[in-house]
Amino acid sequence: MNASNASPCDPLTASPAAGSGSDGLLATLAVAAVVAAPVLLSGCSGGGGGGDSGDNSPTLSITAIEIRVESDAGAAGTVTIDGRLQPATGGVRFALDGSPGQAADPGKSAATTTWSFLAHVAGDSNDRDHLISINPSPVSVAGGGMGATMVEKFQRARHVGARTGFGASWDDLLAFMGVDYDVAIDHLVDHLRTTPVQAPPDWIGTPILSWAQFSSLSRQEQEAYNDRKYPRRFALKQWWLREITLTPSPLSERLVAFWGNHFVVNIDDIEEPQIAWSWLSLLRQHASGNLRAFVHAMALHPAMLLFLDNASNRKVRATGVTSGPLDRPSNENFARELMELFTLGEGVLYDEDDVIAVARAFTGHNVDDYKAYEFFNSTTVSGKDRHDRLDLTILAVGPRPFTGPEAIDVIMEAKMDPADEVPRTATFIVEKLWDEFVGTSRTPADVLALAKLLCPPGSVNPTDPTAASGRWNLAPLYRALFKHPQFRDGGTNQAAKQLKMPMELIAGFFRSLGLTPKDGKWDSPVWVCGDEDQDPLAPPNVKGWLGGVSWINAKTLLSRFEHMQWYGWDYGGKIPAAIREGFKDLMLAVPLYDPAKVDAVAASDFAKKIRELIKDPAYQMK
Amino acid sequence: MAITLSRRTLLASTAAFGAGLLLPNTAQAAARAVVSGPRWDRILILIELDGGNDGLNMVIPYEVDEYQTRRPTLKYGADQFQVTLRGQAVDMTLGNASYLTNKTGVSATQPFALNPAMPHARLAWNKAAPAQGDLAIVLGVGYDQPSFSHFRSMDIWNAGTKAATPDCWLGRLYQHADVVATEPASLTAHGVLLSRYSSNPLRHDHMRYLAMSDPKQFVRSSFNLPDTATFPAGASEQFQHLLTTQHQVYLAAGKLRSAMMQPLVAVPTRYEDYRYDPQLFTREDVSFNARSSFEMRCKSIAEMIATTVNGDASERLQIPVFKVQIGGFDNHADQKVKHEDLLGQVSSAMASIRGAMIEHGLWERVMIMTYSEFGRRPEENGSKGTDHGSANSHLIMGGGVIGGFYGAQPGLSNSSTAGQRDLVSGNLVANVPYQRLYRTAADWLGLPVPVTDPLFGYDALTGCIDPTL
Repeated sequence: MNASNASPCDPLTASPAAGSGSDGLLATLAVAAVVAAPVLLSGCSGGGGGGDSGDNSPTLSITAIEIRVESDAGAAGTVTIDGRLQPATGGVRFALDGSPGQAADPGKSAATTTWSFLAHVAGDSNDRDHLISINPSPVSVAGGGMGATMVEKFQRARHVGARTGFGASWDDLLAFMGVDYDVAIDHLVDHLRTTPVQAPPDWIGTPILSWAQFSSLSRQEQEAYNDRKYPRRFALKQWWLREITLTPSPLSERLVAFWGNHFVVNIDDIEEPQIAWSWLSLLRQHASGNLRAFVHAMALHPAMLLFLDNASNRKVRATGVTSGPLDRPSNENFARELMELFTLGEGVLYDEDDVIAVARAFTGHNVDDYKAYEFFNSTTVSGKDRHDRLDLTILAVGPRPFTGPEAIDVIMEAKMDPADEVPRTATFIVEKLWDEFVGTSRTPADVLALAKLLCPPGSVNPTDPTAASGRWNLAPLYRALFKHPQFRDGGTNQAAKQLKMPMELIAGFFRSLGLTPKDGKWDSPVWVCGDEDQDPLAPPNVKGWLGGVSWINAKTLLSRFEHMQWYGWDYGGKIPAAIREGFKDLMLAVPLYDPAKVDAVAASDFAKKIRELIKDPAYQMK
Repeated sequence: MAITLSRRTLLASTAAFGAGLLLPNTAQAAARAVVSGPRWDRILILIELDGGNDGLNMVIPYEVDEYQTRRPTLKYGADQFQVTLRGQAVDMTLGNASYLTNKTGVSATQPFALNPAMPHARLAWNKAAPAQGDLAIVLGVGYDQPSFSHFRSMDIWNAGTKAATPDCWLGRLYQHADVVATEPASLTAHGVLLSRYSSNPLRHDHMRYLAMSDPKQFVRSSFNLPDTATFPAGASEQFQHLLTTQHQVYLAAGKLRSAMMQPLVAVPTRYEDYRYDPQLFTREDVSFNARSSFEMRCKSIAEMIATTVNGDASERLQIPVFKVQIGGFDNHADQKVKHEDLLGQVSSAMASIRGAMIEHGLWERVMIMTYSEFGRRPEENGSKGTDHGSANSHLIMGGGVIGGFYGAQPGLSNSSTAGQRDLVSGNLVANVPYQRLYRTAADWLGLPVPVTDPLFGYDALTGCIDPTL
């Protein structure tokens, strides 16, 4: 089987047909067929697709397939496929143009098309006859028609889709299954996006008015200006849910959701929709990048400055003191949450003196009249001398003057014990990612091993200005986390199943089933998420949503139950025919609680079957 | 006006059944193992002031110099406490209460006033004879070595202990075997949470509590909900949680539905801008402001308490605990207006519950109590706000509550005399452990506190509960 690991694609859809030999020379073959699937794009020649015209099921043409046969005879075992010599790398490409002997383009969503070919390995006495399925149905894969290995692959693929991407569509699943597990994970991480696929809202460039500008407007103009803010924030929430259903990299948006729930901002609190947009973009830009850069960017972003009040943090004297040094911060809100929630954990390594010192370091990191970040650190310009330049001691480093960013570096590099291999922030972040994505109990060894990927021992401390190393890069951590056996085996481990968060339940419903809201509008899905206690981009407090069992209480349970009933009525009948056969396998992470309710419905009333399925508690699980 | 029913009248009307149910006085409480037993007819309404209420600007020691100097933009002066409610003058001052100052080592008294945004609550204070007043104000509540983290501190408050425990204080007390043994079969649920469901003093594996934003909506959407009484083999912890919740909702919704098929009792509402402006309070009756979702949730509580089952006035929904949260107290910047808005809602809601309960003859069964993760620092910050603090003031209101001040306002001085100073790191020092509020509530509900419970060892607030009820 080692040979197959080297292949770019596993035999997802291929099976040996009658007459194939069995003397061990021919091991496996690789087939690529589904153009829409990102993993399979490489090596496949296919028409690009679709684009976005309000319909998130673009039509795609499959213009060719490329086949590679792996032989355990090694280099000596030259392979020919249908009489054509297979090159040392890559495969043999066949057009699907409907010409004699060739299949016609089956498109992405058409019924199963089969394609047969003969493979011959030099020195072997037999040709091997193989059959490929293009666009296999879920049931033929999940139902075991492909053998036990394939079922396991299907379960793992569905699991990865459910836990990293809001619920995989059938196309996503085919892509995951086409390759080895680790290859699929690498692909997901390698293809994280830093930009959205949709065009941004058209108002993002409109200027934010300064107070002076606002004051000069007429009363009517002022009201009009203010009245635009809420609808734009609401539109942004809709825009994001739509992005989740459209993106080829749902993991990117899942990570935006994770980090947006870590560096928490409630966009409704900060009011300005342009800043909300900028914050959402910042999350996407950094979620796949470097954690240190992420924390630095987040700390000085107007959304964070406004949400946690650092916008008004400047050096002052203690109240009632009229002379002497300005040695107090006017607001310590951000400093506290920076350590408690973003980097170290509550009460870990820091005390109240550190909170004050960090708050002093962040004095003067404010916003200007237009709510853009500005560092007020001038000794000569009137009104701009807000930063405390006195000596500070932060987490036992100092005394010396600190700026806010310098304080971040001290905090992020702080260790529980000087002998530790990694800083506390690394284990803190790993713990949070683990709890969110893996969810099983973790050992300190698991955490340390992953933290060492985030902060490789020996990587240069970034507080050294000459440093340029892989320290704090997130991609290696994601890779290892999703390849971890505890995550991987969650697909088949019933005890590890998690509750979907509302956005996974709602946006995932549309994404996994290839649906769009009935009138093309996303206001209702946003409202539904909010009613289930996850108003997108507007978490209840600075700690964010707690996740896990806290998603479900008597109120949210009923809210979910009620909304799923609507969804059953509104969308059950619209599920594409191509996936109706295997809808249970596609939609469920755990068996139905009450299968009789679904099974009792006649197959002809598919919409009703869906209604029953999505009301079952099993549909809440991922 | 309905709400001016005097204490004496209440006592007279309830004396007949009150006599056999005397709570032992608190001097004996520490020695006894079990109180007289759960009072399933009684109700506790907890109001969570989420974000850390600034108690110093709710119950204001307006003549203390340090208060005036530490609050240059947020302070209230003696000239701000005469307000108008529905055209009538209301004096927000409360009289004197204890003021504890380590600096001099001498306890003194100082005059206090309620925040001028709280005239409704002030009406329950009426210290003048013959009424005792229904509002108790507890000063200096907190715990040693306070946490300044919202989340850790609220966990401590909900648990009733700093120890790591999955079970919170009411959950533990209700799940004590002696209590479980007396649990009536007709119990609808142990409690109902009306907002911020993640912060839950009832948390315990075996507790039955419901969470809802609106009971009518709850009843509507639970129609057709199937029961999920059993777990499939190997179900994950999270799946089990889902199925357990659905089972509880299934059971409770049935009872709630049968009660709510009847028209709900009418509790009046008013519509007004909930930004505090006493001139806008024009209605004569006590009413909940429909513009405040918090007040509407409090209205739902009043309705659930007052609702009769199948039209039988002797039979009501049996739900002993309600918890409702109002958020927005974490005002690090520009606090004053926002805080007044919030206090105005709290005050209006408490007074409206009181009015509705008096109207339905149920007030002597109800206790309302506020809680919050911490107070704010006495010294305001440079953003016209306040940062996280420690000791705090809290309100208890009820038909069985003996009104007045409890505890003492911790001193505000930061200068030292003989090594003693009032503030620790600029924060107030508590003199009433918050567990004493819980012991008071436990006594009210008749819940024994086992010797093994972290609340054991704390006394109820002395004389806070009317022993004749």
